[in-house]
Amino acid sequence: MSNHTHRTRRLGALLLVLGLTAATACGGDDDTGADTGDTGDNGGSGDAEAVEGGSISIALGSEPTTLDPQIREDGGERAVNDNVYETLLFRNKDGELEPKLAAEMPTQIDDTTWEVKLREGITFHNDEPLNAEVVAASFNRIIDPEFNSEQIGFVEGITEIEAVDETTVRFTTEGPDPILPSRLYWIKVVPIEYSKDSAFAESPVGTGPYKFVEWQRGQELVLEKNPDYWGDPAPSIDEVTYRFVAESGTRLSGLISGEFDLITNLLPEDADQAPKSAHVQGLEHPVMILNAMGGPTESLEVRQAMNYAVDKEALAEELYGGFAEVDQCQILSPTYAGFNEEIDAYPYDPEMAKQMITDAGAEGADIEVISTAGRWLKDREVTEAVANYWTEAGLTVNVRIFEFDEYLDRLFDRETRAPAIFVVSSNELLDAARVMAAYYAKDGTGASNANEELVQLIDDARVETDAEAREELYAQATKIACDEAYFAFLLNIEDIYGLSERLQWEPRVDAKLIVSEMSVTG
Amino acid sequence: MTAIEQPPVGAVDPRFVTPGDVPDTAGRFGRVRRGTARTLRELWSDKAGFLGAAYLLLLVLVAVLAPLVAPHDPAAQSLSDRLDPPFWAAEGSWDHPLGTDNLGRDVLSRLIFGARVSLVVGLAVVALAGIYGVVLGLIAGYKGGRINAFIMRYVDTQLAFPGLLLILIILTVIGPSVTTVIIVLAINNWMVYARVTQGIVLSVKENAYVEAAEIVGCKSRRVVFRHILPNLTSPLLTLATLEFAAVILSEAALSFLGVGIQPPQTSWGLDISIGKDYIFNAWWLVTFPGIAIALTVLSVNLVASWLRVTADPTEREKRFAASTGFGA
Amino acid sequence: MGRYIGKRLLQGVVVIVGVTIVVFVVTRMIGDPVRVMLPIEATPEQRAAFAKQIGFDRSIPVQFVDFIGDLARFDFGESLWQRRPALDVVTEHLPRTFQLVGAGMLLGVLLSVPLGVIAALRPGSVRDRLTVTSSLLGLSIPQFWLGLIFIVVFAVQFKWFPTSGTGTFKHLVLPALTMALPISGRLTMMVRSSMIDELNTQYIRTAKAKGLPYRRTVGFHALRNAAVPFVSLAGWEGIRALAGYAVVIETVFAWPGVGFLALESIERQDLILLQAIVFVIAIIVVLFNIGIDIAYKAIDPRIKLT
Repeated sequence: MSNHTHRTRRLGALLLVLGLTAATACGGDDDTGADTGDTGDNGGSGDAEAVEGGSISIALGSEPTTLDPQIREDGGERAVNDNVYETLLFRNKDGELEPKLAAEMPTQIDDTTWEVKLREGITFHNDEPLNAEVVAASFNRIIDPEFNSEQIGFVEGITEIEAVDETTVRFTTEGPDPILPSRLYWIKVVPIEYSKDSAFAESPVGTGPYKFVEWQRGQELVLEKNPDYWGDPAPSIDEVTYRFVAESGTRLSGLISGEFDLITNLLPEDADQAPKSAHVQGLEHPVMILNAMGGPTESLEVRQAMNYAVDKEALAEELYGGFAEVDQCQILSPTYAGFNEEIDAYPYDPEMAKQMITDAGAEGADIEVISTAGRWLKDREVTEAVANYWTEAGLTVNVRIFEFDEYLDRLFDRETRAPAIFVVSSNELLDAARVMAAYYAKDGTGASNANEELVQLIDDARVETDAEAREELYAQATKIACDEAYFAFLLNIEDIYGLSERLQWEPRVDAKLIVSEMSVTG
Repeated sequence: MTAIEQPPVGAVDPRFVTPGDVPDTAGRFGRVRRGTARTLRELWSDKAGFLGAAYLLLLVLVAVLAPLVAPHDPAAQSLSDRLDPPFWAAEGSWDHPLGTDNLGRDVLSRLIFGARVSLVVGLAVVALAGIYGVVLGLIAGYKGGRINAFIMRYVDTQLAFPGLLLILIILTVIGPSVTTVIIVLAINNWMVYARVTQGIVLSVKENAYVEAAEIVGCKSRRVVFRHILPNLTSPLLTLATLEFAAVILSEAALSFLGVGIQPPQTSWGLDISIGKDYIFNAWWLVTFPGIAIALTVLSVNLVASWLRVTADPTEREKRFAASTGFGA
Repeated sequence: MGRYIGKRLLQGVVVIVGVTIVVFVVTRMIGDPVRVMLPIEATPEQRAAFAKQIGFDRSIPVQFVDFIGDLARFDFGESLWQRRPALDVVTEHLPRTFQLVGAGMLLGVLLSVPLGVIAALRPGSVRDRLTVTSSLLGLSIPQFWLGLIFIVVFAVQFKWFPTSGTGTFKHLVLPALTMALPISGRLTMMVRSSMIDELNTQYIRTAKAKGLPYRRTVGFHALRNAAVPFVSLAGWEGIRALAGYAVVIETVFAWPGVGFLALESIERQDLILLQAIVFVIAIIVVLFNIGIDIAYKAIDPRIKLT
């Protein structure tokens, strides 16, 4: 047998094996991921009854760097601590604020003072009592500049917190702060005595439905049900194990093979591969910031044309598999305070777009688009797709993808604004204030307009404590930005989760993973 | 008929390449007897090497003629054609014989243009690193003494650097691109050439033949050119080929990690990186680039082995001996 | 020997200092960890406060002086990302990388020695060609690709092993296998080649010396002679694995070792952690190199170390 045929034969066999296994690796799995509607999922194998108890495993994209809930901006830490610690207020299914550790919604005493009444009889997992002193101390811990909390941005403006009596906490803000309740939804209450212990960051103790068991760094983190939980409904799942897998493909592998019950950030294309998937309208908005202060985009017609030119429905369908909604001419989700129900998205009208470009004399105009890749889901794809649409409308588009660092340089450059900058805005507080300040207000870090009226409205809204008046101000602001086409409004992406067959859970609009809202069917 | 016998030279610890490792091909057998017909016949007798060379030739042709051969523009997106499977699958078509990726780009075209990148990067790195390393090695070997010690110390120092880590950091700083990848890989790769060259020069210098030439009065430069250089060509050629294979793998790994070739350019490693997110519903995105890399590297290794055996008469003797069954 | 070690250690120190300086210079040029670490919507005041906090508002020369001072005390500062001493983070992840590289090397060596010897006994035979082919394939296949295929086939399809992470022996199998394959490919080729050389000489000699037991002659002398380049190559592979391949494999398998750590810190611009990682790896590489030299000499005292 000659060397030649022997070797070729072996190569051929190997290729065949590889090809076959690759081909059978997909399509041999359950296809029960049919989703219906916004906040639901649909396990195709029938709706089994949930049982009490059970252990589940959740795969996070990154490991917590600490379990101190007040010091870092860390998604991994939040995912875990959202179950161990609690906040004064909480959001329900529809994203509305409700009292949690607070007995009722906060009352506003005057322009700069708020008061919150606490529930009675709650203790931490280590039996430390929850009272106004502890709550005040929790907040003081965060605003202390020496503490160096990364979350300090969430509590800016709160100058003083004091315990008026056993169950009443008073907050004093620098100026009128209409979004104080949102801040109360974000900051977790910690046991002040224990927080001084060095083990605090590794072994958390809160008031929540789950207690910390152990954390083996790099491997796993385990929580168990708190049988003495004060709240309602009581948690069902007995034990939850968190594992940390950075690659989304590997997370999916683990889900399919049965190692995980829940994975986050499932790619739209993979939704079919998961045993079950669930999706909910998320907090992320890919959008293009258009430069209204100079260059070809200074002209209103050009900016409007750039909005008409983009087929947003197609983007949602093609790039996100339908797991995205078209933004209604604002970078806000319907659940945000400040969302304007009156305005609508620019429809897709390529002919009109082309016409407007020609009329404005901007045919062939150079549009530089700044973007980055790998930071957000499909950032590069959306950028290039939109650039494509603009080219079809008659512009000459030059897409420049930068490393995130350099990209930030360009985004924050106040001297020279590029004609179009891609960004994905997200807002954990579910309130328009931050978005407005960053992108709409003319001196915002990411803004490309010089509209005085707009920034005035935004500044006024910042300190307007009457909820209705505030909504009105934001309505005006969003309308202006929409009419002036300061942005090429795009989409609101949905959060997609992969679930195992046995897990029952409806995802939340604030993207928190609350285990006490989960149960298993066996 | 033959089997591949030698380990890749590039894989030997370059710190320990001593003069004895280098075949002494000075003298009468010094020059590889060129002659295309003869070379081809040699190649044919080693079927594996022949296959490897044939594949590489095809690859080079395809890479050079890429714009003519590729059915589509590798960067052309088509949102409606996303994730189409290869032609033999249910929804595949001959329009995209090997399917499309997540942006609707044609996989086959990307493979073809990716070949360009791999070959260009490989050749450029080998050229840069090779020239730098060989020159240093020549100087070190020929001058000897202090200069030799100094240069070799420099080589050792850089050898001890944690290679890939530094490459990662540097590429992140200066921004990855074809040029920067080439430069960084070259900086990381030149040491073995210096070592091997120095070793050869030293061993040739010791050769009595050279001494004799010097006694007779030949000028040193003449000595260099007539005696040293011919001994360099074959080992260096083999080394360069093996390093070429290693560079292809390195570039693929860097692009896979995201610090190598950036989109919209194509690279096999980059395509695998993009494809790994879709491994369950679009297996072709990962499979084909991977096979391409493996086949190319394999072919280069086969050719390198053939080169090594052919260029060294003592090795050829061994090949002959082995084939006649004298191995125990 | 002692003097030699001393000399190498000194050289090692030069290397480590050089590496760290390079990293310092390079990382300061990366730009602004401040910007990357805070959310986009953070205000300029918040950024200034953060910069002050981590000491990045001082000029580069000042930072450098502080850095050298700290280095001397092995104080690498606090990781920007994890807010813990950087050295702690590195030493926590290091054993996992050792585990991975160790298992991979062990597997590679265990595979390559017998395979290489068996193949060398009968060059040109079927089993020889099989060995050579699979070795060549093994060292030609890109590791990251192989890892992905392994996960899909063995972890998802057959569910024999977990898809990622660390913890049990089962978690180690696929990553170690992926690491071992190209290494064993190269080692096998080298063992085979050395053994063929040895056998050719031994064969002739044994043929002349009548009746000497083949096994003892071959076994002992041949292996020992082949061991020297083998050790040198194995050591070289080990270093390259530690300072190189580990990154790729840890990425694919979500193995929380130092390679994975390095990539994360580059992504998050955690320069402090990055410095610590490179420093520690450089030390290990230097020590490892010296170790190989000593092993080399121990095996064959005839070797003269320059």
